[in-house]
Parts: sequence; structure tokens; C-alpha cells
Amino acid sequence: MSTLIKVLTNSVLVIVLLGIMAIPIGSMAIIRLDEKASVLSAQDVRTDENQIPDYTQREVPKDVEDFIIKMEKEFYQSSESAPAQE
Amino acid sequence: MFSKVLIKLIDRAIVPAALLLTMRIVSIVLISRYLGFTPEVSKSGFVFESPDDYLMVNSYSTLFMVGLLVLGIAYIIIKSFAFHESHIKPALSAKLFSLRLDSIIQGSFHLYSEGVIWLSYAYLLLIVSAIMLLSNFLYLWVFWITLAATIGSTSLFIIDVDEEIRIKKAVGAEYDDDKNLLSQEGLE
Repeated sequence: MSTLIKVLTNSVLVIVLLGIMAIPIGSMAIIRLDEKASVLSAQDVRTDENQIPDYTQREVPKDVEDFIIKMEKEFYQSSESAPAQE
Repeated sequence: MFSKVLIKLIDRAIVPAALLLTMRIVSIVLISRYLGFTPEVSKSGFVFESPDDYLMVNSYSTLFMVGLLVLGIAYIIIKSFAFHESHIKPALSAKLFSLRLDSIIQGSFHLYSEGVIWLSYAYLLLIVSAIMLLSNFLYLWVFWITLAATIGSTSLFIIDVDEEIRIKKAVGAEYDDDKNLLSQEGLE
């Protein structure tokens, strides 16, 4: 039991020693480089807005949907009425 | 319960840690001011926008830290060579006692625990310098100076330890391991 306590207390001392030794080495990170984004023109700026949207998850507007249905109907009507070419 | 060596090492590690930390901060401020850079001070520290400014300030600041380490290690090595309890010259010892500077005379345990700490800092700084060099955050010549300082101080320290071992061997009693004489008739 006394050996275990001895090992534990000395382990704490080792951690304290390593912590003290890490302070000046950690201070090396006190200086940082933060480069601002440099762009050639306003068109090069990438923002969240101009990312490619996921169209599969979006609802099609009602007027667009009606227009597509109308176009499809016209296409099928014209293809059915047209004479078969040989 | 507590290891005497560990307590001594912790005791010896506090002063160089505080000195190195202070040197890092002060050197960054002074170098930036001297070179006319204006780093932004934020919670994460000094933030530079120009990579060239960052490289220059970081390199010179690391050089200042290496300079401090060299001074600290030189002080210990001078004490080890000239004022070591085991091999100090009698005349020098008498002079120090007359000047009441006998506290300079130190034993191996004190000197070597101090030396180990300062050398550990030197090696840690060398590792960090190598990482910064690979990341192009440090001038190559600063890394070479750090390497030379670390190797030089380690060599001098080893020379003193070697001398200490030689003195210990010379002072200790020598016994003859040859037992042929004892095995002779009439002597047993």
C-alpha cells in the first residue's frame, strides 16, 4: 500500500515537472500568423451563397411545374399526331 | 514519500521556465517595435498578417530564447568546472570563503539537477525549432545556432560529468580482487 502511495505521489510530481517544463515551450505558440483572404476580383470571393445548391432536395415552384407539365403534354400530343416515318 | 530528486528538479525548473516565458514575450514586443511591425494582440497572442513579418519576429525571438539558454547553461558549466565542490582549487576556495561567497561552491547533486533542467529546455527548444523550420516559420541559420548551442553545451556538461566520475574513482578505496594469495596454505 505504501509503495502504491509512493508511486502515485511521485507520478504527481512528474506531471508537475512536465507541466512546468511545457510552459516556455507552449509560449512558442503565443505568436500566430493570420493571413487575410486575398482575391484577384470580387468574383473570386467564395461565400456560402455561391456554393452549388442541392436541387434534388428543393421544391419546384408551382408555376415552373405547371409550365413543365404543359410542355410535356404538347410534346406527347405532337408526337402522337405526327405520321410515322418509314 | 516524495522523491528528493523530483522535488529538486521541480525547484530548479521554475526559474528557467519563468525566464524563458518572459524572454519570449518581451522579445516579441521589442523586436516588433524595433522593426516597426504592429501585431494585433488578441486572446490567442500576437497575430501577424504578413508571413515575412511573422518569420522575422519568430526567428529573432527564438534566437533571444536560445541566447538566454546559452547564458544559463554557461553559468552552470562555469560553476561545474571552476566551483565544483569535488574539484575546486584550494586557493580559490579560500578566497571565496574570505569574500563570503562560499555559496557559489556547490555539490554535484545541485549542479547536475540544474544542468539537466537547462539542457532539457535546450533540447525541447531544438525540437520545436526543427518543427518550425519544417513549417517555414524559422530561418535556417537560427536552427543551426540552436543545434550548435545544444550540442556544445551537452558536450561540455558530459566532460564535467566524466571528470567527476574520474575523481570519484580516484578517491574511492581500491581492493584487489585476486584471491590467489588468500588461497595459499597457511593464510586461510
